[in-house]
Amino acid sequence: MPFLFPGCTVDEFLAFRISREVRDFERTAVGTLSPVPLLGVLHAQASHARHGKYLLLGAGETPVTEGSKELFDLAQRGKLDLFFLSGAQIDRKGNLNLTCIGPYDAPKVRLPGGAGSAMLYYMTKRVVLFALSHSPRIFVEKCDFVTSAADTPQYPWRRGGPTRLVTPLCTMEYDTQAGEWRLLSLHPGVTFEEAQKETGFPLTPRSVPVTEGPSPDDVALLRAQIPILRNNYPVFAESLERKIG
Amino acid sequence: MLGFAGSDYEKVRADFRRLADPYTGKEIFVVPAIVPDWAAIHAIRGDENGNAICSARESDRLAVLAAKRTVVTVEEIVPADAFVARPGEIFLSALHIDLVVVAPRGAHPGACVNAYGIDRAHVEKYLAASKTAEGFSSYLAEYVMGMTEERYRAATSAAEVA
Repeated sequence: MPFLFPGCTVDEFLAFRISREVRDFERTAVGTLSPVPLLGVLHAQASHARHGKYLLLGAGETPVTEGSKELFDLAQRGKLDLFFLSGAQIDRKGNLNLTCIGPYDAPKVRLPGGAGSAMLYYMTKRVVLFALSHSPRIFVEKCDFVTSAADTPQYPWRRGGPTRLVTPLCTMEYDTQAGEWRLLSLHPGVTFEEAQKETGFPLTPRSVPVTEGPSPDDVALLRAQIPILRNNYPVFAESLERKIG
Repeated sequence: MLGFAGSDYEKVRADFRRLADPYTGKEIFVVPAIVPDWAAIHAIRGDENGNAICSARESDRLAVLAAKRTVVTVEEIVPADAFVARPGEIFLSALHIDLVVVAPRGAHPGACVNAYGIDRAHVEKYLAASKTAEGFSSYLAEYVMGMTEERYRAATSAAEVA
């Protein structure tokens, strides 16, 4: 159920919302298989967050000599401010499933696995979740398998966790007191009923503002980053260029 | 390992143990080290002394340091006095390497840092072929079984431009 925002594609809209989560003077990392967060962070780096430090896997030059181990160690030492994760399932409590659909012992679908996200979800100060589609199959009451846990108040070693969720229909914020998502904004033209119909848990509150989309200047700046995306995401970059026309 | 608690890995991985950190008293997880019998990686260059320079972006070097024995394939051998790691590359001492094999384009159809990119057409062909057992068999017959290095290179020569 795509929504249409004049002047940009859905992926660019999501990337712009990602950019809004990036703060200047912080350490921000983007992992593998994340073209939309990468696009958003490149936009932030070229606009309001020029003084940050960036570990952007898939952006060509990466300032590491030990691969993902260096990213994981950075996070465990408490030096990673912002990271981005997604999931095959994301549940009401903010847990992520990157492991399997169905029972672990007899899965319907075996997924690639967590790749450090069980640790990163705790040790990164802010984790922004992104979903490239919004349906009740992704947004579930309870994950079939909790790869990364969001809500574990009894465990003392928690530096951070989920803060925001960006989807093609809406944005949500994570309420750490309740340990649940709260609807924060609906994208232009999306009704509460539509968003609720595509979400497998109750959304609240009902009345929220409309999500701010990118200005024409922001869209131009996003598009100026496409050559960098082409290095590691040639298929994504080509498809984006085709949609832009 | 920090974090991690409350995930379902705790239910399915009995070898991941939760215990008190003897230094801070805080609860942490410990996981057993992975010790591969062999690591096989493709590096960018080797020198006459058996040292290698490999990608710094992947975990190739980590795999080598963890394994009992290691074979490293390299694009080329260069003189030791010209053996310098460039950005995106890292030095890997001969101390950790058991065998060096010269294998130009040895990462094909994958990429080799600072040498060549992914052969997308070939990867897409493999992905399509490997969807069925028959397709996979015919892929193996065409590119792998009974192939010599020279014939493989000739069969995939379009990748030279990548």
